[in-house]
Amino acid sequence: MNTNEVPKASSVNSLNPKKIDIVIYGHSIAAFISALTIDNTLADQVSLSLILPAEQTQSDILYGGTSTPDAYNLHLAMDISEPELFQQTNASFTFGTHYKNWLGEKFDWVQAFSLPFTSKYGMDFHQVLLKHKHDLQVHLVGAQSVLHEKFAHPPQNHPASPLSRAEYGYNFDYQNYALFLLNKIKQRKIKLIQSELVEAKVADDHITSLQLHDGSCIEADLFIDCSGTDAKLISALGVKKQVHSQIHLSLLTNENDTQMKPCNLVSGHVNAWQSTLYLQDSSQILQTFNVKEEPAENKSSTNTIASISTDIGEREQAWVGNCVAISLSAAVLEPFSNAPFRLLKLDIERLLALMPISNNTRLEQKEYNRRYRLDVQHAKLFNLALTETRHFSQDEHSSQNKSQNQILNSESDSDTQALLDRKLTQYLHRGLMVTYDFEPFNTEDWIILHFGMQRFPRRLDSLCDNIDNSNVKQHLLHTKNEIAAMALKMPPCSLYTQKFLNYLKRQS
Amino acid sequence: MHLCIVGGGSAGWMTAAALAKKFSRLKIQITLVESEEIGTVGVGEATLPHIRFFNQTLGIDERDFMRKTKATFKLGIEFIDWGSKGQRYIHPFGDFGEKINSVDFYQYWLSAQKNNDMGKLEDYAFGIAAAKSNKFTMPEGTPDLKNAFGYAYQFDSSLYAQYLREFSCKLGVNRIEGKIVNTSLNEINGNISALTLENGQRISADLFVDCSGFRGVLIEQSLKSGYQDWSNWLPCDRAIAVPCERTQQLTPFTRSTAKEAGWIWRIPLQHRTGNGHVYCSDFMSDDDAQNSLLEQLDGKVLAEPRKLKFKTGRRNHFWKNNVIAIGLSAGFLEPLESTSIHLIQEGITKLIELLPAFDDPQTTSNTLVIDELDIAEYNAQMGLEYERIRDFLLLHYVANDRSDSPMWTYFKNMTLPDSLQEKLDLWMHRAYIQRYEIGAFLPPSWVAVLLGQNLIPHNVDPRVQAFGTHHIHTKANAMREEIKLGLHQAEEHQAFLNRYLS
Repeated sequence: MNTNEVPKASSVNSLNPKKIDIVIYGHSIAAFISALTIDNTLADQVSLSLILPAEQTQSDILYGGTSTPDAYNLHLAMDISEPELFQQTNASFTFGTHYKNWLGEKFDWVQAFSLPFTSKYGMDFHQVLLKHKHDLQVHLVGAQSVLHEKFAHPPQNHPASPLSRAEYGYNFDYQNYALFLLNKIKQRKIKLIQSELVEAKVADDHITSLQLHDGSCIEADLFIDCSGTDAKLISALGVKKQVHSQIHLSLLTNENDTQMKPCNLVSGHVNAWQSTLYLQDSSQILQTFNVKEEPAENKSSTNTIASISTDIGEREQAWVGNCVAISLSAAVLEPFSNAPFRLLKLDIERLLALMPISNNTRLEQKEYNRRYRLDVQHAKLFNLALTETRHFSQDEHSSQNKSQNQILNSESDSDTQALLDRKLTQYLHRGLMVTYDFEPFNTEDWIILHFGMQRFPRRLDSLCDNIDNSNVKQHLLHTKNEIAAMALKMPPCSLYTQKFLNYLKRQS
Repeated sequence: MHLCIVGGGSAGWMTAAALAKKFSRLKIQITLVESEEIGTVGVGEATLPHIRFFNQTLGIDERDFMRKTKATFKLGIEFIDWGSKGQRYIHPFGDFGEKINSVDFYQYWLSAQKNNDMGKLEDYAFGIAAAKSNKFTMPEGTPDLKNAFGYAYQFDSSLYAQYLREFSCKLGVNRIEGKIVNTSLNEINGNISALTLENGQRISADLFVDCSGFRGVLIEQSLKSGYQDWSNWLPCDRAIAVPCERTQQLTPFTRSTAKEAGWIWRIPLQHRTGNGHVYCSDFMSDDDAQNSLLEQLDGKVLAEPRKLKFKTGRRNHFWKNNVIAIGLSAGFLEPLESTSIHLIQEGITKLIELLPAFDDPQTTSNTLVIDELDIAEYNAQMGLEYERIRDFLLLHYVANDRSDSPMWTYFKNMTLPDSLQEKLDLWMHRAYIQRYEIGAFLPPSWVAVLLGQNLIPHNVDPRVQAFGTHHIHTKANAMREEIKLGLHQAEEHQAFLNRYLS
C-alpha cells in the first residue's frame, strides 16, 4: 500500500452488536454524572456498572460547590430538570464568583457569567470601556445583581432586557448533590456494586480486573476512574502526576446562614483563601491553605464537614490502556475558580465523543489525551491569571515578577507559561485578547478577569480614536443606568428562590 | 503617520479602503503606489462568505458593489472528478442537517447508509439543494435549516480593485502612479525609509504594506524575509487564466474539475465566465495545459490566455520591521477553495487590530516605534491561518481513488503532515472530525470534502443508536421538507440577480 493510501470502507460497519462492558469506580459527583450521561446516551451499546464505595470521596469539595452556566445542559443530558434539582437538593442560583479582598485586599470584583459582549461601535466593547475609563462591572447585570443580592431568571425571548445578557449556574452542597445524583442512578438500569476496592490488577498497561472487598473480581472492557484525588485505578497503571503544590482544604457549614447571595464569595491570597457558598438553607465555607506555606494545624471544628490535603497538578495522560480517569482523578486545579467543574464537563463530553467502538482504542486514547492536555492547560491559564500580578511590578516583562505563586516551575510547563505570557503581554500591551482553540473560559470570562485584576493596557486599539466618542459616552451612561435600574427592580435572591420553590410545589 | 501601500491589485486596494475607512478620523496619511505597466494578477474571483462582512464594515452597498464588479452569488464550490473520475459533489457554505442530541447529523446519515433510507447527505444542506437547482435566496428570517447557509460572491477582481480604488480615493487615499526602482533602508533599525520611483519621486513613510504580488518588492527583495516552500505538499506551480463568453445558465457556484496534472476552475460572472488551469509543470507542459483548458470552455475566448508561475508557501515573516506583506507577497496557496481574497482580508483585519500608533508611550512624536509584540502576534496568527488552509487544500488531493496520472500517484505516495494524517485516521476510524476553532474551514467543510470524495469511514459515533430509527427518520424527513420549502420559495439565480440589481 502506498504511503497515504486510506483504507476506505465501502459502507459504514454495523455498530458492534456486543455491548461494551464499562465499569465506573467511585463514590463521587464525577462517577454519578459519568454514569448518568453514559446511560442516557449509550444505554443500548454499553453494559454499565458502578462500583460504589461506602463513603463519598471528600475530594469532591474540590469543585468548590459551584457550577458553570452549562450545568443546565449537562443536567438535561442526564434527564435532570432544574425544578428537580431545586426541590430535591439545597442548590441555589449563582451569577458567578465575587472576589473580595482577593490577593491581599488588592482586588474586588464579580466574575459574572455573561453572554458575548455586543458592541455597536465597530470595535471590541472592552476597548470602548477602557477608552472611557468605564468600569466593566456596572455593565454586567449579573455582577450588579450579585452586589445587590438579587436574582431572577434571565428572560429567553426578550433581548431588549439587560437581564437577557446574564447567565447563571448553580451553587451546590457536594454531599447533597451527590446523593441526589445517586438517587437518579438507582432509578436507572445501572448495575450498582456496593463494595470497596482491594486491588486493581494490571498487566500490559491494562487493568485486567478489580478485586473488591466482597471477594468479587470485576472485569470490563473499559474502566472509568472516578475515585477523586485517590485516582485508585489510573495510579495503578503507573501514570505520573505532575504536582505543582499541595494544599489543605476544610469545608465548614453554617446552618444558621440563609442570606442567599447569588454567588460564591472568594477572598484571601494565593496561599490561603476561602470561598463562601450560599445555599437554600445554609452557607458553607471552603478554607484552603498551601501546605508548604502554613503549618498544617488541625483546624477542624464541630462545623467541619470535610477536610483533606491534596496535590494540585495533573497526570500526563488521562486515558491509558483500558482506563480513563475523569475529573479529579486526572487533574486537580484549585477551586478558587470554577475550573474543576468546567473540566469535569469537558472530560465527560470528550469521553462520550470518543467512546470505544472496538477493543483497539489507540486512536481514541491518543485524541482523548491530546484534548485533555489542552483543556487542562487552558483551564490552568485562567487560574494562573487569577494569581498573576506582574502588571503591578515596574517591569512587567521581567521573569522575576511573572507569577506570585511560581507554580509553573517544571520544564513541561514552559509551554503553559508561554501561552499565558502571550495572553497577558498582549492584553497589557494594547488590550488584545489572544485566544486559543476551544478554551474552557471564553473571551468574556477573560475580559472580566482582566478588569477585575486591574490589568490596564498601556495603549488601546487605534480604532478607539476613530469613533464618535461623545455619542459613545452617552450610550455607555444609558446602558449603565439601565442595568442599575434593572438590578434594583429584581427581587432579592432568597425571596425569588422561595417563590420559585413555592411555585414548583404548587405545580407538582 | 504616513502609511504607504505598494501595489494596486485586490490586496492593495482592499488594504487602502479598509484602513482609510476604519481610521478616517485619525491623522493617517495613506499613499498607494501602483503601476499600470506592471498590472495585477487578479488573485481570485471567487470568495468566501467572510467577504460580506468586510464589505459591510466598509459600509459598501451590496447592490452597488455587485453591479460594478459584475458579481454573482456563490453558494459553494462544485468539485468534479476529485473523489473519482465521473463523480461530483458540492462543498457548500453551511452545515448538513441539524444536530440531534448533541451529535452531528452526518453521523446519523452515515449510520443509515446500510439501508440507504435517508437519501443523500446533500438533501440536508440548503446551499447544495439551491446550487443544484440554480436557485438563490438570502438567508433571512427564522434561524432554521432553510436559512442555515452562507453565501459569497463571484466577481471580477480587477473591477473590485477599481471599485475600492474609487472608494479609497474619496476617503483621501493618495494614489501615485509609478514604478518603484529603489528602496532606501534606515541603517540603524533596518526599516524601509523611502521608495524611489522611476520618475525620481521619493516616497517616505513610517509603515509600508507590501501588496506587490509574488515578487514581494519590499518584504523579500529589500528585507529578505525568506520563504517557506510548501511545494512538496502542493506541487502545482503554474496557472493559465482565460475568460470566455457565458453561454450556459448562471450557476450560483464555482466549479473545480480535477485534471491529469492539476485542476480547472470555472467562475460564472454576470458578463463572462472566468476560467483557469492550475497545474504542476513537472507533470504537464504549458501547451498541454493551455489546450486542456481551452477544450473545456463554455464559449468563445474573450482574451489572450495569461500565464502565471508561483511557488506554494509563505514568507517566513509576514511582518518584518516596518513592512507588512498582504496578498500574494505574503504567500501563495492555490485558489482551490477560494482562499486568496480571504487571506488578504485576514491580513488586513489583523493589521487593523495591531496597527502601531504614535500615541504609544514608547514612541516619540515624530518616530513610529513598532513594537516587537505586534509583529510577533501578527506573524503567529497569520502563520496558523496559512497552515490550516494548506492542510485543507491538501485533503482534496489525497482523499480520493485517483492514481491515473503521475501527479495523482505523487499524492498517493506522499507523506502527509502529521496534522492532516491524524485527522484522516480519526475520520476513517469513526467519522470523527478533529476540530479547531480558529481557521477558515470548520468541521462542516471537512465533512463535505471527506464524504464528497468518498471517504466512507469504517464506523460512526455509537451515540447515534440512542434514538430509535423511526425518531431519526421523522426528524430527517422534517429537515428535508424544510429545505424543499426553502427551495420552493427561492428564485432562479439569474432572475434573483436581475430583480435584486434592477
